[in-house]
Amino acid sequence: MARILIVDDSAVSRKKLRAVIQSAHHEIVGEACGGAEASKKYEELKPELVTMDITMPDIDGIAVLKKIIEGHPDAKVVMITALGKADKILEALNAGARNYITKPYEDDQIIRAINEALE
Amino acid sequence: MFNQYFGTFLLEKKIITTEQLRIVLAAQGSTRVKLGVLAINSGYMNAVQVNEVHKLQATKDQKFGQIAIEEGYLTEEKLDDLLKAQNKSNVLLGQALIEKGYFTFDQYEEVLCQYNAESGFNSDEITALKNNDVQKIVKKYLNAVNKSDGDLVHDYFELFIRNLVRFIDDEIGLEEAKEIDSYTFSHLITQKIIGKYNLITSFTGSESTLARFASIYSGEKLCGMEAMAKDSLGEFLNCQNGLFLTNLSHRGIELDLSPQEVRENGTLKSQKNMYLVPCYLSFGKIDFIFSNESSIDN
Repeated sequence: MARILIVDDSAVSRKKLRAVIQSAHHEIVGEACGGAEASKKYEELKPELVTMDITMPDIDGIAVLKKIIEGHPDAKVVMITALGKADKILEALNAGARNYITKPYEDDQIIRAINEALE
Repeated sequence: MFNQYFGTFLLEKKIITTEQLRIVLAAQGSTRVKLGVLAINSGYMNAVQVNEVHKLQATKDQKFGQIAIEEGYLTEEKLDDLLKAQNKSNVLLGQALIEKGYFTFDQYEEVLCQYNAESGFNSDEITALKNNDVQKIVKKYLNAVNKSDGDLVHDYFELFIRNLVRFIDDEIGLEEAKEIDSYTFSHLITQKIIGKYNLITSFTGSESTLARFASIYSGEKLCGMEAMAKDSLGEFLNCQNGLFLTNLSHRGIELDLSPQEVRENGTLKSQKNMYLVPCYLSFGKIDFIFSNESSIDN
């Protein structure tokens, strides 16, 4: 069981992710609906893994990823976003994301990506 | 799609009442012919293979048949057979009208002839409606759109209709796109696609239609435009636009997205190239609006 932080500006997406992650017996230690809140909660909660959206109203998810990795090079971040563009995928993976899942997703995909990142 | 147009025609001509249409639409909803079921019926695929394709469909913007071919479950020929059989699902409304005793077979045949003569569609277009041929239908309804923007907008709108069918409602009717310079709304779901090419994408509708839309997309019971409903509508548009940009990225075109927004009580304005496409769902109408540049006055 891992302690996970969910970052997504959509409450519907967070709710769905919460259900999927909990079904795989992981613990949701917190949720953030924007980039600034995500950075703050990462420092506060020190989760073992973060699921990170990209398009958010305040700070882009890739910018948050870079900030987290800068302070914590071993941080485990899985991008989960509607945006499956090649340039974003490359940018996220180069910045240290452990995986990149596009919406709409299959539940198994999320669980597999999280478990692989945690190995 | 044919059923939506045919049903509207029957109402307009006062051939059936709203209540009768509601009853037959509910009846045909429970007897929809799915490609997977047809595939099992025909012995072309087993249930495990059908389930596998449905799973893959949830993660790919591809049709059942395309995935089944890629996975080696169907050949092109077998898929053709199934599609021909599935297209007969356009008879479901007629079937329900007859089963409910509203029409005899003779009356049904007569009304169909009347529809073919008076609907304003030519025979190719009626075939496209019966076959749910989104590409052809979109081409017809987006005829008015400025040609310089045409290709991308057609691709965008085709995907929008396919996503409506996939996530919200498979009985969709459209009206022709028309150019507008302003649109007053109570709730507007909007998101900008930005980069070398700018497209402002928005949709709106009555509170009850949007709430129903949001309920279907989120799987939550939502009665009005509460926060969860706005979130669900925004997320639908965000996923639509994310898929569109992903498809463009595969073609070497990289564009970006601004965060989606839900705006209230305002007027959308544009000097040029703003288009409105009314989309009729089985539970109400949404207006889809797109433009290269527009502003919102509150």
